[in-house]
Amino acid sequence: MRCLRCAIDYGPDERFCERCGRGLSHPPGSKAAGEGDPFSTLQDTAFLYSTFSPPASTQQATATAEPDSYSLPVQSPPTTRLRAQAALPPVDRPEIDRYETEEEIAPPSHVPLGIANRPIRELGADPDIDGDQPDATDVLSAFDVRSSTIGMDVRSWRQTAAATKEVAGARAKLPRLRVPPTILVAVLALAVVAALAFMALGKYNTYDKDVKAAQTLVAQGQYAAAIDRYQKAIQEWPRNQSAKDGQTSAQATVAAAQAQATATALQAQAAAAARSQRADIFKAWQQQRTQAGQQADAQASASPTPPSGQ
Amino acid sequence: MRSLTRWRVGGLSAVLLLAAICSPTQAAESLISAAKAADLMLPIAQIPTDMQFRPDQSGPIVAKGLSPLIGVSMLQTFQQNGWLLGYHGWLDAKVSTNAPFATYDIYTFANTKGAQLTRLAYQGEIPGIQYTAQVSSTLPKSATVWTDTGQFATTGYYAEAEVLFRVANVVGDVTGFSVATSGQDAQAISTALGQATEATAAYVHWLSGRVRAPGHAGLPLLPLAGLPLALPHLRRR
Repeated sequence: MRCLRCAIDYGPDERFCERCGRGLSHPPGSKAAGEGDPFSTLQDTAFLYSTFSPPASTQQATATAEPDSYSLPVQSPPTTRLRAQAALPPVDRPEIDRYETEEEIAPPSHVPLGIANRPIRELGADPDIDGDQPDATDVLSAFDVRSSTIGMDVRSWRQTAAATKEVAGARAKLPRLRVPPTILVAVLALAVVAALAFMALGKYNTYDKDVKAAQTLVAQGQYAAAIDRYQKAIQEWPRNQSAKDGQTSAQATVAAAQAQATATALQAQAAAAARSQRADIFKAWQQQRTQAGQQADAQASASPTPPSGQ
Repeated sequence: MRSLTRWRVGGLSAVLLLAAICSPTQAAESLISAAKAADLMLPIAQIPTDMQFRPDQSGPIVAKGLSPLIGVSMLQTFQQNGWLLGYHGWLDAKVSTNAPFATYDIYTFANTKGAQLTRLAYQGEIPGIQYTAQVSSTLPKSATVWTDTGQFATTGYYAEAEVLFRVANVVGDVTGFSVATSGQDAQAISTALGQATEATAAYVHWLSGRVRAPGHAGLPLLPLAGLPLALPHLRRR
């Protein structure tokens, strides 16, 4: 036999738990219920586990077996937990809500190990079925933690306020450093000025670095990259006249180089065209001269005397 | 005897002095020698600064190439007058506008007479209009100029000016060309004439430096050669 609450095993002859006084249950797979044991039926077990009232269905059948001292328990006021539950918004619990109608409550035979088959409504009125569910303080005591330790009792809160007052008083007693407001403002202004100066210095360094890099690029003949670098420097520092001058110079150089390249290309093109024209002209002139030579030959053959000098 | 010797010395000096006086005449008839055709090429240093030499269009002139240009009969005239070598040179103007350029054909002959006869025969064959106006003082006295126009590449016109000259045994035929807008483009003719004149002047200037006559340089000093003979007699007197 076993106490389902204390999980203590007893011999087959024991009927009640020595620790909690509750009825023992057969372990699963042991002797079937109802074999010469008045407490072996499920109903009996359910009865034993029900603290407040016997199951309604078996109330008549077991009336004779009930001891005379049994009486319905007085309904206790709602516990702290129940009050908190009432204050909370309803939770959608379809599995539970489905069983809230009496018709859908599972039959007692399906309830394992004597859990009370009372309506949920009754359970809701007092869910502490076996009177074993302690309230919040009981839970803390079970863990051996004082509520004041975690600030759950009102007294501790009141003490905290008092302690706060004490701390404030202690602070008031501390010696204060008296700083004139003008000095404070001056220090703050200095700090701001220093921060601004630091930022400006950083920006100027970046600007100067970019200008020098652009000058190097110009010296290397990389004018496009130099112009981009000058542009970057111009955007970095407001007093950027040197960068603007450098950019203008580089752009002028690029423009001049482009103009020179264009002129050179045009010149080469014109030279090629002229060369072609010269060849054509000379070819035409040779043809003209050949015709003149042929005419001279014809005249020489026609005249008896050969051409002679003066 | 003394007087005889004196007369001998004086006579020798007079002969040498006469030879020295006559030496310029000897120089005018001197020859310009050229061992090969390339010796007739105008040196790069002598080319005008606004022109440039085109070696790919230049080269020796041979009878086979000359025959179709001047005709077989004129080639025979050349050969009869002692034609030795010929060179064809090409000078491009550095400007490309209107494509001006000049070519020169230089011929050397065995003697000056042959060169003279050839020049006279050749000038009768040159087409175009003879340019009678004074062209340039840099040209030699023998220079004669012709101008002409023609068509090239079916649509273009060109103007040409041809200068024929002789220096000693060398006959030169320098032709200047320029693209013309029409068949009567005076500006193009002027450009062509300028090209031809410039090239001719440069070539004549160079040729003048090459004229030489063996023995000519020492002739003016010949009278001094009789001085050692005359000095003893002058001392005795």
